[in-house]
Amino acid sequence: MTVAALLDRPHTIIPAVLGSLAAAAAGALVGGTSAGLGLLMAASATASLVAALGTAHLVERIGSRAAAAADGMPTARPATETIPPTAAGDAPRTEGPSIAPGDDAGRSHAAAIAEEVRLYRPALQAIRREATEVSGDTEQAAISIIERLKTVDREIEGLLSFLNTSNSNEKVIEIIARTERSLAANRSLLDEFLAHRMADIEESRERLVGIEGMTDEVASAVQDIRTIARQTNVLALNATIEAVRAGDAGRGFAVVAKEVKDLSHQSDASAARIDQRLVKLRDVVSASISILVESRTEQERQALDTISRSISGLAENLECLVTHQREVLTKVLDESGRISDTIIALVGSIQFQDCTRQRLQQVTRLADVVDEHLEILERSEDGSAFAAETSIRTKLDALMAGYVMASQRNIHRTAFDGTAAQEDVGARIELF
Amino acid sequence: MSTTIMIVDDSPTMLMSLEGVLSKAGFAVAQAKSGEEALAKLRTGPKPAMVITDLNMGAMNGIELIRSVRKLPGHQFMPMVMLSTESQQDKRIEAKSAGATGWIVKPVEPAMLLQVIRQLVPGG
Repeated sequence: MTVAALLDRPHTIIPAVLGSLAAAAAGALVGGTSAGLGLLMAASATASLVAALGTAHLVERIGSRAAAAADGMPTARPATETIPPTAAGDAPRTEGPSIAPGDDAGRSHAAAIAEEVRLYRPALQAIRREATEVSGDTEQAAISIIERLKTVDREIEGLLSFLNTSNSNEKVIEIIARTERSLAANRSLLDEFLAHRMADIEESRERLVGIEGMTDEVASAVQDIRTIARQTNVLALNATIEAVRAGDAGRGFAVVAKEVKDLSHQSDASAARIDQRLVKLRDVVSASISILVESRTEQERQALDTISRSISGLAENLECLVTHQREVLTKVLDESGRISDTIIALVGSIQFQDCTRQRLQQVTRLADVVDEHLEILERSEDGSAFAAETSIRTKLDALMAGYVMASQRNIHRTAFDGTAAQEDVGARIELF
Repeated sequence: MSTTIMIVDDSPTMLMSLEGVLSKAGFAVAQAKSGEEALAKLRTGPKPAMVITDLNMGAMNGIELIRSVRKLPGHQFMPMVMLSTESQQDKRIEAKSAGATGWIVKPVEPAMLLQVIRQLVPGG
């Protein structure tokens, strides 16, 4: 069996293998980013994935060329063409002219294909290396992300712990409560003072009213005195008449009557003066009562009411302060709860790395199978070693059994069987 | 005292991720990097309230671990849930036959995982 004949299988299998590699590598990248953590991936890991995809594109290109070569259509290539270097760092190389048909041409054709095939191996090695490095890099990045998230979480916990253990809310409330108690005590004293003051004023008013009453009594007595004085004057006048009527015998009596008359006039005049002063005293007392009750009392009441309202306002402001403090702390606690949920979700999302790792492992295994097979192909000049080897189809079928997720099997089926039938994941959570 | 959940996975990121989610939710977490390590811990250590295990872990896979744990005295009814990227029905049936309590496909939303745990673990 010749190498060209052996390429009958690679003709159909290898493009599918390379296509599968490209799809798997792309799937790993998409899977990783679709986890919503693309922005968190380390730059090196992203660069490696991109490099792996670049290699996959190269391999796809080589695979399509192999198919074209095995179909006997090498002339589809230009006379010279530069193949870009692989990710492994091979230098670019230039291919020779196309091969003419014929027996010799068949051998040359086989040699050309063998030369093409030799390219697959470094490409596969590059894919394996990239896949391994991407897996390692994403693992390190994922661990770093988790550690940093845990640090953030610890810092938030520390802040909440400080808020709780320092009892800042309770402290503020206690300070305000003390102030409120003090204000209430002051207000109580003020009310007490106000009550005492009102009682004092009332007592003063009552005393003034009493003085006013006594003044009236004295005025009444004065009126009595004046009445007596007038009656005494009348009596003195009658006595004088009777003294005149008595003649000389009544002369001495007339002197007495005159004295009595003078005394009655003096008594009436004194009583009149007393009455005038009593009127003035009464006016002063009335004015004092008016000032005391209507003016000063009202002013003091207004002033004390103002102080009382100020104290009430201060207490209300303190209550607002307590409410605001409570609202702030409640907001902090609520927000920290939401942050905590987000951290849990982010930490949980790191599972994407394990899924990516397993997919990349499968890429590596696929590359291993193909590389191993190509090595045999390379070594098998007469086909004997290759004939003894298990077919790549069998190996690829065996590889199918090692897949650990539906997406891997779907990619494999699409690549190798051309089937569009997709395996359903089924219930993501099933309790038996 | 916190309820202990044992997590078994050969992936360090999975262990860290699950440990982070569970501890944040108030659970104590026991970890094992392989089926063998988990089995040894279950033989000698305190019994957790529940085990969450990966399927593919090298020498002893998750189904074999469950099968072995069910033979341990007092572990017949402990909830054991598979957490795997695998979703094939025949694997689920095999796990159920081995004594698994349930099957969860990775990746799982942390809230959904915690819901399953609280459903299976009394007082969780």
